[in-house]
Amino acid sequence: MSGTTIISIRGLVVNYYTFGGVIKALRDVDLDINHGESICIVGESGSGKSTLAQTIAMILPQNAVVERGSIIYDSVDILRSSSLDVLARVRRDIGMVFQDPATSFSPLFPIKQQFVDVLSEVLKVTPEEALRISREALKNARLIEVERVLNSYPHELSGGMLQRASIALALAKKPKVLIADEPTTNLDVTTQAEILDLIKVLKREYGLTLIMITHNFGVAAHVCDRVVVMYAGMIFEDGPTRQVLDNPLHPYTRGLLMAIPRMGRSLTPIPGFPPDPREVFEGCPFYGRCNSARGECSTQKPPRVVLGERTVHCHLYWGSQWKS
Amino acid sequence: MEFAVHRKIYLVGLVIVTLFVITGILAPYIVRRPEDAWGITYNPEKAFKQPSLENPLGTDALGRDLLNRVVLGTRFSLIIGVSVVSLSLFIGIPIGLLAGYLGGRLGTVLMRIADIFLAFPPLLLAIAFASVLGRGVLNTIIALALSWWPWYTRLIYIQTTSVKSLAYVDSARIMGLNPITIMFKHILPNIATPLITQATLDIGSAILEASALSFLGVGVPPPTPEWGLLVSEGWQYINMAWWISFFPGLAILVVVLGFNLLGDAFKEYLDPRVRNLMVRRKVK
Repeated sequence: MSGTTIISIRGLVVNYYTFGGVIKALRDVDLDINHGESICIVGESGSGKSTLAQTIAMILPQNAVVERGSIIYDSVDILRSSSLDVLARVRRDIGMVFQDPATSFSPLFPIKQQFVDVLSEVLKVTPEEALRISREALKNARLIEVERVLNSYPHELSGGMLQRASIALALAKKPKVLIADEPTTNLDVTTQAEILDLIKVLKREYGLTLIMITHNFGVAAHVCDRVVVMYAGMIFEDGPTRQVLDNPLHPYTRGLLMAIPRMGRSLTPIPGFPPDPREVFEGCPFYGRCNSARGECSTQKPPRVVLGERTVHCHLYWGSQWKS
Repeated sequence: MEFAVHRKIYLVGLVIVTLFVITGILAPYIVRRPEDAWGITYNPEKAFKQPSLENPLGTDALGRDLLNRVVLGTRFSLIIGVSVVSLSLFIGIPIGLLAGYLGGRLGTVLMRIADIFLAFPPLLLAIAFASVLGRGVLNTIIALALSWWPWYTRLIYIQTTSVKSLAYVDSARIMGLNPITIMFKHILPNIATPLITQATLDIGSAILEASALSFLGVGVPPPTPEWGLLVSEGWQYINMAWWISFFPGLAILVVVLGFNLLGDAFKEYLDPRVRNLMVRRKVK
């Protein structure tokens, strides 16, 4: 972890307006992402982790509204700036890899055409130059048979190859930040490990800041220095991966880690269900499922408690000091 | 064209459409007396002749050879059918893409305008436009296209909203491509399948509606040998000279049927699942 902050998120509130009501996807999120670190955002479906990634990448769907808050990137608030230069800079500096490699490419054109079309427009180079850059990017993504991949249609390639290709495409514009939204969820287990290793290696080679979205603590442990646990649109816990996994502070993190199936241990599920995303909470959204809940949990917002390198949003730690 | 081989009925559609297009292009060169088809001079001794070797489809009230007129009419139907669909696509595609991809207020306004057009029965709207514009081939095309484009806009809008949430569109956005490139290079090709099918089916319908306009007297003016007009010129003599309306009507029927069959063939063939089935059947 090096010191300087590259992305600074403050008080971020994002709602989705749907026919079924207002979905509160992010409820007051604060997060500082440091230059060159790899950070994992872990949470269940509906915890707001993908919305957070989409807000940073500026690809929120139309029915999403940023109600409050700021994202400072490169000393500019990218949410409030209407300047096209800022959008262009975000597009240049932030790359993204998506969950389903099968839909990451248009099914109608060969990979070569898509690489060349996109890169020649984005990097403003000739098609020949774009093809050269594509070859190099695919080679960097450890794809053997670069020519075969280039000449194939997406459906002719395996999920792992396509995910390598989409990583290559994302990195071909030399971004500073790479957002990976559950990049291994749709792959089989051995390919998952290869892709994670690849992302780790490329992060070092390209000097990237990596933001990984996942619901899998295994992925977090494998790739990231720092883990952020989200629940119901809020950050519950934030800290160095090893510390969080070995000694979870928040009752929700503890519950999640207990709910991971392991050999020789019975699995303890968290009782109850995640809350309705339309609900407004007076207190802590985890109240009601939490076995350490106290009186103020239902009435007061959980406070942000900083304990050394770690942060936890929970009443249990209010006023306590971290003794290491 | 391998699709036509697998289902004979589609082959019929393909043959009809091919013959129709060739006839339309070559019409003035293959009829015996082109000037006769346009003539309005009254020729009483030749009028109302039954189909015979001399006049295979008979003659009309003014003594003009019907075969000549029906064959020359092919060209007008071809021009009208293709132009109406192309012009409608030309108007409908950008509006549908813009409304679907950009959405928001602009999208709502554009789609509500399309809805206003869709609220009228299409032929009624076309009759209204045609009456205002006046008779003529070009005006018929414009009148039909003006009532036609919202159907494509709606189709494209629906398809665009479903395609734009796919990862490759987000991926294109995040790579920094401009919205025009994304709309025309990444979304449009991926929604082309239903569009091609619909457009093919619609060439037939456009021919039919153009004929209806001419029949009603707001389309192409006489003495143009347009099929709908030929039907309308003959219907008052239907009891004594059935052939005057019958053969142009038959031509409309066959050509519209041909385009419908071809459209159905495209619908099946462009669906990859069905196509694979067909290919597998061929292998066996």
